[in-house]
Amino acid sequence: MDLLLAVEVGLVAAVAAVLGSMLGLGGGVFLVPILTLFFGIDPKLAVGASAVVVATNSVVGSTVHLKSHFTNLRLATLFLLTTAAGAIVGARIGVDADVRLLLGVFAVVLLYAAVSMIVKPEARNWEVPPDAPDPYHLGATYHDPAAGHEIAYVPERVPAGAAIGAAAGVISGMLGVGGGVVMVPVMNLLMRVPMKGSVGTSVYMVGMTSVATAFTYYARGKIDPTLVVPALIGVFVGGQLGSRLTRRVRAQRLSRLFALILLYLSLSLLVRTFGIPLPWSR
Amino acid sequence: MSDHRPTDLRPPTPDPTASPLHLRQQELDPVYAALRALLVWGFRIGAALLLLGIALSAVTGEPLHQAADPFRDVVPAVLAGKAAGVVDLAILWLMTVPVLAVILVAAGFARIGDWRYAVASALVLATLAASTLVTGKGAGIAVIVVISAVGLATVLAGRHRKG
Repeated sequence: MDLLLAVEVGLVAAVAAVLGSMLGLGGGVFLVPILTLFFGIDPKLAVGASAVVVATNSVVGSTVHLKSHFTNLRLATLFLLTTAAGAIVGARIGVDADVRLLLGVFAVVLLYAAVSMIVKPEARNWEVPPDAPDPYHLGATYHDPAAGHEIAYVPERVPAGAAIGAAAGVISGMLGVGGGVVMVPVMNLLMRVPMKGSVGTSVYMVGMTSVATAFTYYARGKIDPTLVVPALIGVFVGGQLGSRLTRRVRAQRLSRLFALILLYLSLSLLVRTFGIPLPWSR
Repeated sequence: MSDHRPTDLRPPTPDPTASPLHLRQQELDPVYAALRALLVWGFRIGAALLLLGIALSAVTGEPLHQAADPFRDVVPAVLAGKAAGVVDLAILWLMTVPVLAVILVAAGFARIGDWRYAVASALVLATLAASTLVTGKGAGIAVIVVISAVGLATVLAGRHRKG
């Protein structure tokens, strides 16, 4: 990879991280399709690079959530039993799969992400009495600075959440994305975990899930350092910029615009899935 | 939230007025502090290794490889002063930090006597280890699914004892 292409990949990764950070999706959702569609990079190398980047992003992002105790370590551990296993299965399918299958599945996931941004269910802050029954010992508390008091919650429908986690893991392993786009709504809407707890737990566990993918791709020689290094630098710079922009810009107002970008990427991937060359791709 | 030292995994002194949920959360305070320190320093070391590799590549004019070296070749390449080896080590280190986090969390759960989640964390590690050690596709997936199912049963079975 020449220097110019490395700089371009770094810039694309930075833009992907800004968008991902503002939307809470993680950069992988944007990174893999852009690298594949516009730079002509082998989708499997893009997935491998994305998995390393998502894992590193999770390491950095988790430090903030851990400080505030938004991360529920017991819930994350329970989920990791299914998401990590799912990710390994997904990575083993993805690394040997036909490229068109990967692009097709990615197109469907992007379509889901776009639709979920347009038809966004209202996030709820579920709370329970501090002495509520907690059969799996998954209940947790944290101080919410916005609410000004301590939030206590006990996750519900745990087996169903864990089962969906396995499916999210398979998708994450196949595509090198974090899976937060599935896990945050599952935790918040299905399991009644408050939004900050859902995001904090998701950011922590997507790193572990992506590591399962990254090791599988590394062992198969699908990690390209000339791609990973500029992507890591770009995502780190973009993530910092994105978190600052999120404080200034109301990301909710931009969600429809971002949904259109995701729809466009989804349709472009579908076109590529059917073997039709895109005029602007390399 | 207590200001425990990151390396001290002992549970803090409980507050007698706190709710059971809060007390259980408070037991984990030292684990949160230690985990945060691990992730911060893990990232710093990885970033430093990455910058070192890039600087070595720039100084020696040695291009980076387009595929990372196999696991067994990374350390010899680093010892030989190869820029590509240092970059591979940085990437592997950044991939290993979350695994170290799971080990630390397992130790933290064991330290406070929460064996259910200590075992679950150990089984997450076993899943990750199986993914690299068991290379046969069908056998590997079967082993991983069995470990995952045992872990889930360990956590969910507690319901009947407590309920």
